[in-house]
Amino acid sequence: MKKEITRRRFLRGTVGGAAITVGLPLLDIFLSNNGDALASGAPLPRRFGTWFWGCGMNTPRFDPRAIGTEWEISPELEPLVHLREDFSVISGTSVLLAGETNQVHFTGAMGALTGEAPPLAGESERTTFDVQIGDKIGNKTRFRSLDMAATGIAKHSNSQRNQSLRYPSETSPLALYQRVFGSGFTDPNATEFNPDPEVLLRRSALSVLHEDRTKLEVTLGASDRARLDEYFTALRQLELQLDLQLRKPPPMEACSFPDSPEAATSGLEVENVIENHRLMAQILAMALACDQTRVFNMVFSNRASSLHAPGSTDTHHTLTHEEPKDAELGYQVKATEFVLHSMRAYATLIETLKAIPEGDGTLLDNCLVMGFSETSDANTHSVTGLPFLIAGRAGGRVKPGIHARGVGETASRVGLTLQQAMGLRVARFGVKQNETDKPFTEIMT
Amino acid sequence: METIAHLLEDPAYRHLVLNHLPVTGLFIAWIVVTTGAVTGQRTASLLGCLLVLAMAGSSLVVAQAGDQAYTVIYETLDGPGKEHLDEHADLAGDWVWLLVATAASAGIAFVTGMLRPELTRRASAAVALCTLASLAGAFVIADAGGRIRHFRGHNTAAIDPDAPPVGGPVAMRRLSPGQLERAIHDALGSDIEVVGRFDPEVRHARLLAIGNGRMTVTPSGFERQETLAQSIAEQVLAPERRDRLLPCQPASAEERDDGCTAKFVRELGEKLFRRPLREDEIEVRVAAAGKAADEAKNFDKGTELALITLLVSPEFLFRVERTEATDDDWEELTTDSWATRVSFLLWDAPPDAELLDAVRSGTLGDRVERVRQVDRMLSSDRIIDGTRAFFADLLRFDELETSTKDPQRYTFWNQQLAQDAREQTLRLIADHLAVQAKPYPDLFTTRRNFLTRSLGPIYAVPVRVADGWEAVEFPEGHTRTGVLSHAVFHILHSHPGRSSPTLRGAFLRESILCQVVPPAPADVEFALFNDDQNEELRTARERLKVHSSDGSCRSCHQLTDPIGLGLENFDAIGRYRRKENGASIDPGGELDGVSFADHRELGAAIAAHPRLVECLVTNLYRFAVGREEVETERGLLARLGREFEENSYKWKPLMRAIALSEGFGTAPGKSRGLQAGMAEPGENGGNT
Repeated sequence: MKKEITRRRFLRGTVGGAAITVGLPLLDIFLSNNGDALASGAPLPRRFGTWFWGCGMNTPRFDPRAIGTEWEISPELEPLVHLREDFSVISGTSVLLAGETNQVHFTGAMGALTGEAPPLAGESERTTFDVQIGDKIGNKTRFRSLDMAATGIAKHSNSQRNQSLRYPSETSPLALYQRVFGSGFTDPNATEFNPDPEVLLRRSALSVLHEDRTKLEVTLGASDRARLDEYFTALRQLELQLDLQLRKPPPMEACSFPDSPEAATSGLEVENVIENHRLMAQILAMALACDQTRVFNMVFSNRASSLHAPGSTDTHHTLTHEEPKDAELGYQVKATEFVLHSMRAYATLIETLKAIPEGDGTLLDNCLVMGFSETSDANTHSVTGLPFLIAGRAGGRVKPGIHARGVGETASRVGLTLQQAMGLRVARFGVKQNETDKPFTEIMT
Repeated sequence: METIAHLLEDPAYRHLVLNHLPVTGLFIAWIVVTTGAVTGQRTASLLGCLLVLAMAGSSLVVAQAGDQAYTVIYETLDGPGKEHLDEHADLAGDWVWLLVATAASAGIAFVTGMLRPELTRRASAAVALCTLASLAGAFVIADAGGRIRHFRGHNTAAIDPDAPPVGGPVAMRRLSPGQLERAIHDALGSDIEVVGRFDPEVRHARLLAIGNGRMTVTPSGFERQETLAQSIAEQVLAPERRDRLLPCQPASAEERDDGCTAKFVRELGEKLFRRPLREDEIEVRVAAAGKAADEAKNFDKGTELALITLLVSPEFLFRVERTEATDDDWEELTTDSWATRVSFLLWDAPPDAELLDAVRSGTLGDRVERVRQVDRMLSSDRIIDGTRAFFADLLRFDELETSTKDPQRYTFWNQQLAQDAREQTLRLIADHLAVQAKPYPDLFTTRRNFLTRSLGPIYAVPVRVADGWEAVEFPEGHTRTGVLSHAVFHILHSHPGRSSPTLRGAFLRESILCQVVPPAPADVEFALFNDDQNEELRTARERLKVHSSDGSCRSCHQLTDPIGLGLENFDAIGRYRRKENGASIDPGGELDGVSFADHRELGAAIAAHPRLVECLVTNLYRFAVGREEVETERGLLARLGREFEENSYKWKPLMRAIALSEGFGTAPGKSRGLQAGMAEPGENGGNT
């Protein structure tokens, strides 16, 4: 006999499939007087995201010269000039190899995210730190994380719990929209709330699966048991989603129900990707404002970027290897165009987050977004001096507008800084030569 | 004896067996000839000279075998191992003349001694001195050879013939998207639409089938699975299907009917879980469905719930392989797990009703019944599905979905062409192996093919049929001879704007011959090779020469490029061409000691390559069990290889042998609960 009252029973008892109508006055009572918390007393949620572009940049044209607050926008950061006070640059840090092979277009990205230069080709067993942050702050929202690829390819993702659990990306603005704002979405600001009895049915179906678990578990070996745990983690995430649909959500001032995007053109032509990214960024911003998720990973272009210019099959990646350096300018002109495209797209995301007011400031103030790439100089696959662009204030825990530098030091310092800024109690991050206990205090408040 | 003769066909093994002769053997010969020279015994002198002749002379055979084995051994080594191998090969090349000269001197000394006995002693003394010098040389060469590390030769390490051929650990194996769709169609009818995107599959050890034994499910993947389950439940309960798919009608459409629900769950559950359901699994579903029906006052709502619980269960989404203890220290797959393995191997589908009957009735514990079931399944047309599934995985055809070509250079290119090229090759392989029952190596030399309209321009032949496929047989010597002339390989292993001998060579080495090609170093300079507008270097061969003469590039590119260049007559979408940028293409080359003039002879060289069939056997076995082989299965793989050869490399007998092999049906002892230190509540928990 079960003694506890399960959530399912409880909900059935209280909701009973009937409509509950709750009338609510709007807007002005949402926030408490100090402007950084909801009227319910809960502080405004803090959000974390990663934003990835492939094939890096040209260090001399990308990294600002001066450090501290008085630095000037470099040529390749030019597209972000109007956002100079909204982001910080961390330059100089590296994934330290110390004898490990530099696995091209892999080591840089996974090293930055896991704090380890992966020892095996194409495989890392470690958890990326966006997932660690998600485990801490993502378990109260419908989605622990939203993962998107503007390239439209699900495999274009850097986020993983381990080798056998890589999180695939949403592949189109429409699919992203339907997942977040489709039938499962409950508008937090709606005056009426009508729980769907179909949701109760689905919720009950999932409960049945827990009853099979024990007998299945004892037949499994250790590694399969760990995989079954992952299955039940995914199942509980869906249960949480359904539970949230059965409750009246707390109102969110900045949330408004967005229009569905048109079906966009797919393909890796850079113009398509830019447009898909713009649409995804808008949906994402509203998903954050409506508190549907607090963690996201956006892939603008994949590792070893497959983006190409209209009418050309030379991808950004092939250009970085094949295009001769311009004799006068000293860099690869066509390949560098894609760096500028990437920075413009990053600017688009920041602008979109900044355009939504929240509390005393904007949505961006309550976000922390790490823009990063898998190389510095893609021609030689260098993982030395990787570029990091940190946007937002993480609800006041981070200072933007700073250029910090960590030449010769591990890129794990960036990961450690961001985890601490997001409230994780971690003193160290990374393994072996990439282990560190030194966050970039320059950008922390 | 036969085994030893078989092993000696492998140059690496021959080299390892014979290389004692010019060292240890020569040392013994030196003692004999020195004894002769010191004591003046003519017999000892003459015998010593003969021995020196034989032992020093054997160095030629050893060196030749070593040369032949070089490429194959090279790829099995890590960096330092490679350096030692190169040092060993260089020293041998520099000093082998010393041994040859010694052998010659011994020969002359012997003849001298026979003709002029008084000179025997002096001649043998000279031979003893030469031999001493040779021994020093041989020792230096052998010492470098001994430092080659990490050698993982296939036939060289001893296989313990008495070790029981027990299989490796079992796993929860994720259904592939194709298997999931087939499972739903088999259980509920092929008119059910299965739409949705699933977690992307991951290749491990070159196979998605192995990756699926390691994958789990992501939250977004599970969300989609549940959405799919809802859509299927809706389709099943739609008026046009409901009565056909429900095994009974409820007493009332507005009330629960536990008896009817139990029947539904029992019958459908067995198909979806691929085993009879336990009573507790049925009860919990009947109870939940009853409550839902009561609350909604609708029997079908309960049925919908029950169906969803089956379709999102790990027992459906994963093939949960279970084992039971035996009297020995290994375990056996339960009959339902064995049946599932067999069925997915042979048909790429869950067990059918007849196989499930055998599971339920318990007859499948009997070997005679297992053989009967395997033979029944082998004789079905559905064997084609299993054959295609394996080759689509091995040949990486899933990667076609993301391949693109420059539309300006390749005006015929579109996704339909890619899909037709894929279908063409799968058709030919399934027809060749499973229908015509021809030997596997003949695939690389066959003139049969299948064509469809959209492939006509690529193959430059008229296609008579307007829709569908036409079987053709090209004349002797036609450019489209052998499966390697198929467009799909050239499309897959090319860049968007040009062919790639390196990618093609690496594919042949890795997927067809199971050889290892190391990745390129990180800081490589590509600009010259890829400049295909270069006036001086007009063909890929000329461009590749530029950096294959570079030491750091050479070590890997000598593995890939020479054979990839054999396919240079095919452009990046598989059209035949004689020239590139106006210069004639030379498709000649060498594959592990066999030279070829063009892709047809390359096909023949692949067909005769000693690794070809061994590689297929290994990959098919891995595909069947969903993991790489373990130590105790190596003897089994060798046996499967020999049987494959005895059966003239016929496909179905190979599948049959794998399905009925010990490794396929067993697992190591204690491969379950105890591993994690858990107390086991019931030895065979979960198995019915």
